[in-house]
Amino acid sequence: MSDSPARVAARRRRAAGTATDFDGARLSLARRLARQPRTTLAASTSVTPTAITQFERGQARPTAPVLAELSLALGVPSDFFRHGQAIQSLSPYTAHFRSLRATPALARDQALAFAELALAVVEVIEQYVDLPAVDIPDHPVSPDAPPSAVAEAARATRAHFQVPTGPISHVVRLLEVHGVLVLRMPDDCVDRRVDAFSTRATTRPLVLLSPMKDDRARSRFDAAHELGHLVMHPDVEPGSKIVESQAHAFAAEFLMPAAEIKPELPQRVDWEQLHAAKRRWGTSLRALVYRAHALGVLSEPGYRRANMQLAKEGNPEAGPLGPPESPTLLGSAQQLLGEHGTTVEHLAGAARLPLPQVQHVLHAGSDTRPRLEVRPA
Amino acid sequence: MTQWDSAASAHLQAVRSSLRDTGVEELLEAHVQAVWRRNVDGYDPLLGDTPLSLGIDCSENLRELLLRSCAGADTAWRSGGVVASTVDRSLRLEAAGVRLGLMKAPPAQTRTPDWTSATFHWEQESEVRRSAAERNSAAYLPVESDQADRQLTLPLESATGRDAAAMRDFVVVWSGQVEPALTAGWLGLPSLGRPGWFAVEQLWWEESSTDGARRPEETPQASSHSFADLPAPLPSLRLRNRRDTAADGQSL
Repeated sequence: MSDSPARVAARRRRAAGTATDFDGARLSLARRLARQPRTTLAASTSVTPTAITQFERGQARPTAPVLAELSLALGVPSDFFRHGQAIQSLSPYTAHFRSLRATPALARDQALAFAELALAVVEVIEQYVDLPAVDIPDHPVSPDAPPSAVAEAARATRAHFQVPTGPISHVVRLLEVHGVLVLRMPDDCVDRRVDAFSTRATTRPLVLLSPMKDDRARSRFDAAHELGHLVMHPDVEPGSKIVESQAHAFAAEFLMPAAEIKPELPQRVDWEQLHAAKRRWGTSLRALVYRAHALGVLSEPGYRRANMQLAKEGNPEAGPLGPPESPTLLGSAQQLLGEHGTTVEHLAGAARLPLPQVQHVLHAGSDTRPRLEVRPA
Repeated sequence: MTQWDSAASAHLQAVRSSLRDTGVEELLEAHVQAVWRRNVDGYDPLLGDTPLSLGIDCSENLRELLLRSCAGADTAWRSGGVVASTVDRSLRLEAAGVRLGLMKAPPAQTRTPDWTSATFHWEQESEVRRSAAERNSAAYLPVESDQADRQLTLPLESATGRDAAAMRDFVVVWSGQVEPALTAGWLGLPSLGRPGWFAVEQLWWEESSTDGARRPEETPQASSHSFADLPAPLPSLRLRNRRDTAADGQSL
């Protein structure tokens, strides 16, 4: 009786031997980064989706030929699958995605995989550089808590961060100073439909900002919104409108404390006054109009008319404040390491990660014009 | 030839000076602005409000408020010698020896009314306004007017003279825009025929540095207290020393 072709192929694979150094988490990472469901990946290799699941869970190891197929299909070198810097697994159930329901699952998985990759790179960097200690206050707010609890959490966070009265100069850097890893998702390797998201279920709190919002005011509000999740919702199930509204309210109070901004808001639609407030507080006209209405300064009809006017004029909003706020932490770390002879290639080698992917992560955490403050060791 | 009759314009300016001197002009402007802003605050197209309903509400409010002000102890009105009354539900103010009607210009794209529009063809308008135009046209019979495009439908049988200063009926026309809530006002001498005015002069024009949220020019520099002027914090980084690294089993 002759063997079936599949049986012959399986025998050939076994004869070639299984990979002895194989990290299933890295296969999962590479697959999700490539936005491939297991079925798609299986179709371009000689194994089944079930086998891929087993590889990813560490229940089985691929043979050398299969490893080569996986490597080719996912566009990473075979070495990528060897054990190196451990990959922290991020569950979509622990990450607060803006527009969760509107984000395709594959795009969400891809963004989470990029976050896992970034954490791996950061862990390698932390072997050489002391990054700011994590210092995010805990003010849990349940979804059924009153709005006053959200406002109180925002005020307490300002106090914890020792933010003086008035506007906040740079929200993203404030987060970095307090130990949050902030990245701007690269639009060439993460689906552009993914909006900002954050998680505290990792060794270092993580905020990923959308590459789509090319506007300073919006980037500041996004960062403050994600900070709200980190402070209030570490154990709250993500995705509900209530939870997202709470993060919005947190951002509003954090950036525009009611007691301070109320006298500066117009009682009727006055664009000149709103523009002045925008320039002072670094928030969008939309956010200011919303704030004025929420604080009872602007009437309901005035609020509606102002929004109709803003909708009519569309984006980008009038009175731009400049490019979005960008993170600096990883760029500064890279510069510091470079000055002491450690290159990106070294980091990639130490993490056993492909150089281009490490560069992607460093770029996502860098300003185009990084500035560095080095404390003597 | 000018847009307005020069003799009528001269009379208009003289009356306007009196109204300004007695404070009536300022009071009218203040009332119109206050009423317009308050109504604009509540103006909500989503609830069925229209530019017409907004104008009607304002006109009703102005009539009632001005009547109350004049009847009450408002010393400003009293010192201006203003007497307010209604004729067929229309407000009539008497001040500086003339009669003033108040009229909201029809909603338009701009605040400046089209003075030649059918709205100002008084023959088709209310009895009150038509009567005012008739009285002016009867008092002033400019056989050889220097006003451009004046079509003389006169003489009226009741016409008595050719003295522009004899005209006593004026209309304060005002208009408003919603975003931002701004008003403008004019004083006019209505007439029969075309155009429906012997002369018109602007009383006020509220200015705003911006119309709508969109600014035509670049945003000016932020104030010294803006977020952009504050120093941005920088995360501090420190190279781990060799002992730290060795203890972790790593090397550069």
